[in-house]
Amino acid sequence: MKKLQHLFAKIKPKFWDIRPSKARDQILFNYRKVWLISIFMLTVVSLVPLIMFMIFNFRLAHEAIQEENRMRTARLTSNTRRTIAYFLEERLDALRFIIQEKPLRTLMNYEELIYLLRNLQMGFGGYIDIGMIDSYGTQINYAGPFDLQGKNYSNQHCFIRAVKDGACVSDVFLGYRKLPHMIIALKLPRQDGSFYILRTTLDIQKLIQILSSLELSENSDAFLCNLDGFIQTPSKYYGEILKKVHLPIPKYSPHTQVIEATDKTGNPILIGYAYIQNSPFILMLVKQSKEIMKGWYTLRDQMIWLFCGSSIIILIVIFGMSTFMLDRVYDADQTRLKAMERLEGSSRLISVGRLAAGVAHEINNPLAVINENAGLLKDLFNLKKEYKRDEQMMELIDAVLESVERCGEITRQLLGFARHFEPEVKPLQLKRVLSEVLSFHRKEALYRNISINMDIPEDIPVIYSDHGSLQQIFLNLINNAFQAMSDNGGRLDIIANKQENDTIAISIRDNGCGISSEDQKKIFEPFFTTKGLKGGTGLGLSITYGLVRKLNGDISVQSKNGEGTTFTVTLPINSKGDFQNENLAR
Amino acid sequence: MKILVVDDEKKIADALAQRLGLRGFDAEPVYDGTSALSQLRRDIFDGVILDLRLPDIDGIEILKQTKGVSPDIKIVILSGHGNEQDFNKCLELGAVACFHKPANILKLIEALMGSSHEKTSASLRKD
Repeated sequence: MKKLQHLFAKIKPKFWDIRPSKARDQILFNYRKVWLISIFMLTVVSLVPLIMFMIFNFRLAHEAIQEENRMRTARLTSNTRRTIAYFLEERLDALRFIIQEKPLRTLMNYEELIYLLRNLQMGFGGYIDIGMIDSYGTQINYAGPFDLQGKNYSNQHCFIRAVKDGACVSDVFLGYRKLPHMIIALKLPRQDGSFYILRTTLDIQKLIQILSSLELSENSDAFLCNLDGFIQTPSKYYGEILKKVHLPIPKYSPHTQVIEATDKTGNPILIGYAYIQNSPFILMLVKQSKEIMKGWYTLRDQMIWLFCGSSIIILIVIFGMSTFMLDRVYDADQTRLKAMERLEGSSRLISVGRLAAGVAHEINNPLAVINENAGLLKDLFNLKKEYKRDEQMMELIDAVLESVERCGEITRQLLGFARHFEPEVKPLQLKRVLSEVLSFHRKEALYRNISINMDIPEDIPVIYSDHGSLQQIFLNLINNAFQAMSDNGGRLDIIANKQENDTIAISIRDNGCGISSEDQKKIFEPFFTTKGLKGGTGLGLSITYGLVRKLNGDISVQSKNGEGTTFTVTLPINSKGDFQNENLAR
Repeated sequence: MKILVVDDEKKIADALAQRLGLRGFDAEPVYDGTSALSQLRRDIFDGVILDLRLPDIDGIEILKQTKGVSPDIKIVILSGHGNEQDFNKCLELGAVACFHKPANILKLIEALMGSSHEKTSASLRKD
């Protein structure tokens, strides 16, 4: 759980907890709202087109695949229908051939017929029996395993059809040995107007073979049924042979059709069917939709995964970028606010300084009046013996004069203080500036057992720089040094060296707690502080850095955790008054 | 020693002149630049105590003109307003010393009497 919280803390945007409570906050805008709005809009703008495109793609693919399936089914059904039609026609053609080839009397001859049957069976296969029927419907010659000589067919559907149409193909019935058979018959017209019907029984093995050679998948089924819907060749799933098919009988159409339907368990199926011409058969080719759409399902799943993956990446990028950018804006804004505060502060200081100077100047005159007049009073008292002897009188006058001197001291200090806020180049003795700054810490050093060593050679040149800025720089560094050291004591070294390129390097070294190497890279950054708990603002070193740069100098740090820290400030001896604008935003 | 005390505050000029008088100087107070210049032309003075802020002519201008006429005259600047730059300028122009008001009269006298032409160092020392 802690890890999760840690993760949240990391990804949480910096400004999340900031609420613009008062207008005085002057924060540029409500960050949370902007962040949420920007994420929302970016998400909508990127995901909505993606979704639309994906849906469009889906539909397209779906339709294309469906169409492809239908086409394939239709083609297969067509081809199969042609094969079956051809097969049936071929059987009839065989009979036609016989009629042409053999004279009538041969056909009337019993032995010849048997011989014929045998040849048919050997040549074509599948012929069970053969018979000649006269125009009255009587079978006058018969060769085959049944005892059908003399049987009358005048009522038989196939006989009537053959008489009318010249040929007939019957539907399947349970025949010899209770196996499914069919009959084909051919009319033999004679010149005198009479006719004979040549009739044979076929077994449907070859038909079944044709259908089973289709190389269909396991869940597909191809079979024939008759116009009333009774199954003619074995079906795997849709009913038993010679029983009603468990599917709706399709409407007549001269062409192959493909329709969608559901089987009796509700599964979606695709039926390709064709009415086989000149026969009572309907070819049905049934495929499971689920199976044929398998390719589509795979594609669809892939697309969905792709979409999800892309969406997640898009969301992460949007989130990350919005947070990143808004964080930067927030940082910049904070820096601006702090800089404004500092500017206000420093301009306030300058105003105070000018005010103080003004006051001091104004007061000096009346002070001078008091001074001279009180002085004169004392002088006059000294001339009169009785006043001179009056101790109380003299004391009173002296008290006035003493106070005037104190006031004078105060106004002098005020004027000195005021001067420091206008940067101006002056020649400065480093030793003096550092001593001034150290004087603020002398008492503390004593209490905390901190020894202070100043190693500044006598021949260190005078530096031309701004007194106030130097004071601030050294004050900050020495403050930090003191804060780093423990209360048990420590050592502060201040070393100055003239360097070759006309600069002076001043090092302030302490043996306090030191700075870790990762922190060293960040210490000059605004708002970076390791003293958060003690109320550190993280601005001290950042301001110091700015001041050093303003004086055209450089500042660096060397530290080892637990051993101590050395800050080194390098300043040009003569900065020629060319001060950089204070770097408000690093 | 004849001293001219120039200050636009009458009370200061008068008191200072009287105090100098009690100490053996012949001190005369004037209250503006024109009077100062005319007095300096009329009489020979050994020293001047000069305020920088005068109602009519700038103190520095008086300093220049006086030094131009009498280069040996000892001029001590006594000002309530001057900053370091002004004082340095005065010293460069030939003032013997510069003081902030209120000033200790002994220091003033010391500067006026000071061993010939030795310029005391700048203003901002504590009086």
